[in-house]
Amino acid sequence: MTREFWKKTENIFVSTCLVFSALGFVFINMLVGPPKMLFGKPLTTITPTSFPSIILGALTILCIADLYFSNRHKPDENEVIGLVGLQRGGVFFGIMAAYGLLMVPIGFTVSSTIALAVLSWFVGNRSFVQIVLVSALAPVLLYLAATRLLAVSLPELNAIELALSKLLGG
Amino acid sequence: MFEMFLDGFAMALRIDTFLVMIAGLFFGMLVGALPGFTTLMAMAILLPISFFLEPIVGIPFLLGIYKGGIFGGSIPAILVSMPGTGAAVATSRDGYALTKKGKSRKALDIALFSSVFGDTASDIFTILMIFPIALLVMQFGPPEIFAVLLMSLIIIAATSGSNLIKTVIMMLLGLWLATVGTDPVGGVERFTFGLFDLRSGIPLLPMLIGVFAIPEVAKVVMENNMARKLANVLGERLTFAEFRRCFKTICRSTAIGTGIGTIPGLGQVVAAMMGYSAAKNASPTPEKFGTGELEGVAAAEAANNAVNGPTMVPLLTLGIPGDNVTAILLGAFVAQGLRPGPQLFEEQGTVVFAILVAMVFANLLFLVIGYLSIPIFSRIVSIKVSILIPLVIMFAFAGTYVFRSDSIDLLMLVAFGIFGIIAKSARFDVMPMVMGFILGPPMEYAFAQTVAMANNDYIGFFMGERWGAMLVLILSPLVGFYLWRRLRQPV
Amino acid sequence: MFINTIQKTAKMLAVAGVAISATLGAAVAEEYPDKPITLVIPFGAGGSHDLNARVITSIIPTYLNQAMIVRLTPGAGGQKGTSEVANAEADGYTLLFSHNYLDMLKQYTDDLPYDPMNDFIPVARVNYAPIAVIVPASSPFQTFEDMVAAAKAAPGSISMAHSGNWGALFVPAAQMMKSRDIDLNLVPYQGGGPAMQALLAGDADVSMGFPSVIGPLLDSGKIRVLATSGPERIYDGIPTFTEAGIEGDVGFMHRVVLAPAGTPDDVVKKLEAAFTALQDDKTYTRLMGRLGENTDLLLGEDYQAMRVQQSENYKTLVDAITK
Repeated sequence: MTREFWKKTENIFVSTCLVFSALGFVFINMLVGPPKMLFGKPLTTITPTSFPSIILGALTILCIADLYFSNRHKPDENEVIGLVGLQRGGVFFGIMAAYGLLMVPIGFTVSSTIALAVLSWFVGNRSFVQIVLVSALAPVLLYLAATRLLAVSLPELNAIELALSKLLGG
Repeated sequence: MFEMFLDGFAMALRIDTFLVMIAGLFFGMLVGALPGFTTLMAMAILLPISFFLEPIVGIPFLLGIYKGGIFGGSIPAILVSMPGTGAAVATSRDGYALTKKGKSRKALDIALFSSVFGDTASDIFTILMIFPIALLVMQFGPPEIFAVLLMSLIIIAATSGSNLIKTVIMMLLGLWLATVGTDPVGGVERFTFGLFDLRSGIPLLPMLIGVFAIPEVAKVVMENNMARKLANVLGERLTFAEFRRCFKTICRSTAIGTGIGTIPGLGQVVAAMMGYSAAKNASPTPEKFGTGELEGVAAAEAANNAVNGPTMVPLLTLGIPGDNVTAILLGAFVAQGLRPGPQLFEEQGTVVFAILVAMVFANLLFLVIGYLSIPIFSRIVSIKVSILIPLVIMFAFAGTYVFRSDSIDLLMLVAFGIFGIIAKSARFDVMPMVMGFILGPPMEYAFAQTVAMANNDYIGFFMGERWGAMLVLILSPLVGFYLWRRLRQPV
Repeated sequence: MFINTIQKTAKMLAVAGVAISATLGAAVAEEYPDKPITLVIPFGAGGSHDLNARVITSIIPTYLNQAMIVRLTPGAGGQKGTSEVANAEADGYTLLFSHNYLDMLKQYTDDLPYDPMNDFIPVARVNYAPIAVIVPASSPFQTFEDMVAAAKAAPGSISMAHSGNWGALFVPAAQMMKSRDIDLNLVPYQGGGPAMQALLAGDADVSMGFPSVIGPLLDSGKIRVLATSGPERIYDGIPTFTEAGIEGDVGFMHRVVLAPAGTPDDVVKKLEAAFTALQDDKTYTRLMGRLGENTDLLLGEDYQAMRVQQSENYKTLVDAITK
């Protein structure tokens, strides 16, 4: 496998897929539980491993086929990811991962405010006023609409929940 | 029976019914436009309110929410490529492409008109043909469901247009992801690696948002276009000529959607995709589908709304709800003293017809409501990107959390986002994956049921009782092959 | 540098938040309930549990002076919602609305991440429903014995449609098969509705159902009942399971409200009082009647005795069946 091969995103993607599906296929009995029994016969008419085996097997074969067929010509410019884009993408997903991890511990309003502020700056907004307005107001408004009007639950710190109900009279 | 229909018609013409339907439609549209805040939940929450209203007021209210919600789901799908339900996926394909071209208002308009047309036509058809449809519904069981689902997957793969190997790889990936969790038939854990959170499987919403919306956002971020707008122009409204061009597609999709609605267990997703694929096949320029073709939006929307009419039939004639939404309607009916079932029409036919007529009126009312609301919604695309993107992310996260109240969904959202952007740059189309994911479990379940029903006598079972299913199974690969050859783009 | 400011602000906010919540939390807990109560349902929307819950939660607030909000948490066959309540604070603000098969039987068929008997205490059994064995009107079976005879003559040839493995239709069917030593072909469906539809379409020979579903179909003559559960006959001329040779507490679905173990007694008493008051509420009985459900209330301790009994019965049953 040449360096050219690994530069093409498709090849990285398909090779990873190939490895996972091949491993999954070979080790399927360890990954899927044993069928349940009833009166001595299997409880269900098809075993839990039937469909997954077919799927993983077919996937392995097709991944090999794709690697063969799509590498018969040289990769063009668009099929290779640039480095700057990769860095920005990394930061972007990092911010989102942090948002996802923080939402439950520190509550929806606070985590959203932080995420909105950071993202706004990162995406290019340089207007301080806009950032503050959006980050401060949007999460609170959405939280109120969701929990009052739509009666769904968003994670929130007790303190903020109590403060809001006192402010708005429950 | 006909007198009952006329009485029912008169009964439906009440101002409070209309007002309440308008409220329901509007509210449903707003709720539907927020991915994750499903209309199902809204209906379930408002169900008790309907207990205290008269049946001719309370039930149309719930129906209004439902219908408003279906269109509502198309709004984020079109404007920010964020489909909240599987049915909106087909719409987002061409819808978002149109938004990027600056034609968002046209896209929303055609979605509205197609939805209303499909829904109205199918409702009228249902009212007229309710008893023949009831008989027809009885003919379809697990073997037919399996056959049609398999055929759908084959057709979706064949008509996707791009490299067949890549499409099938994505579809298989989606099918596999659907097996993670608990096996639908036996309840055995699969691929959960001992993690409790995975026992209920991978939820759909984080996947949809992660794989459709996040990559689009990420692309803008990675390319670092500062202070740009999502689309340069708001766009004009749909012209009559454009609507006329799509009319044949809309009719075809309505027929397809109504047909699929009579088969229990298939639903809006299958209808939307079948309508879309059929339109692509019938078009003289199939390669334009996916790049911003109005017909694509029309085809998907008309079909996914046309499913609604026949879905009500098993509920009304037998008292058996076909899905979660009809189950809520069942509760509403019963709490009002209406007993859906064989005697419903004999005992309370007038009220039932009144409700059905109200349903048709709901569609027409919605045409007005939607048309007036679209300019407001389409303004979203003119918000500065640096404000819009963070807001979109917040809505995506909020909606994902609300779906299941499980914080692991948020991480799945991010993971699918990363997956989506990698797939995009590797030139893989994620739609087949999502379709495989949605249609896989019912297909596996129907297959297991079929095997149980056949009771080891496969040949006799299929040839004797279920030859329809067998026919579909044999024809599907042939139809698939034909479509693939027709639509194949040079690799 | 801006990032630093943000990080500092975030830390400050977090600290402030913790401080405030600590102070406010330490403020004395007032009368229970002083905020809305969440009723978790471990099933999906639209099921009979959901409908029952909607009726309950629309009326009980008048007796509790606080709202009761339904939270649907489907997943993992009911385990997800159940384990959430098991792990929730035992302060009476998070309750579980379950039924006996999920509560006492599931532990013997699956590895559960919680212990149903020790992690929950029952608050109230709101109603129960007896199951009936049904056949379509076109069926050759006129009596229960006809069906048993046909099943013995051709084992595995009679299809029974049920609503899912270890569900409310499956367990009585399994008990039936064991007691009468017959072999039925069990075909799964996604719930009671599709199972009924299969029966009517002729895809299945026999099925089971609860009164709320059977009612209109029985009245219109589309189905026939062959046997019902319980010690007394429900329909004229139709034998009970006991008469038909099926022993034990078979075929009853009990809907029960559970609270996490450790919930204070006075909280439980308040809830029980509210449910008792609900029984006499005219709107409640009317709506429940419309849903086809009865309103037979059993309070916490009384139902607990039943739970213990169920636990033993189900263990024996599952051991015997899943050899």
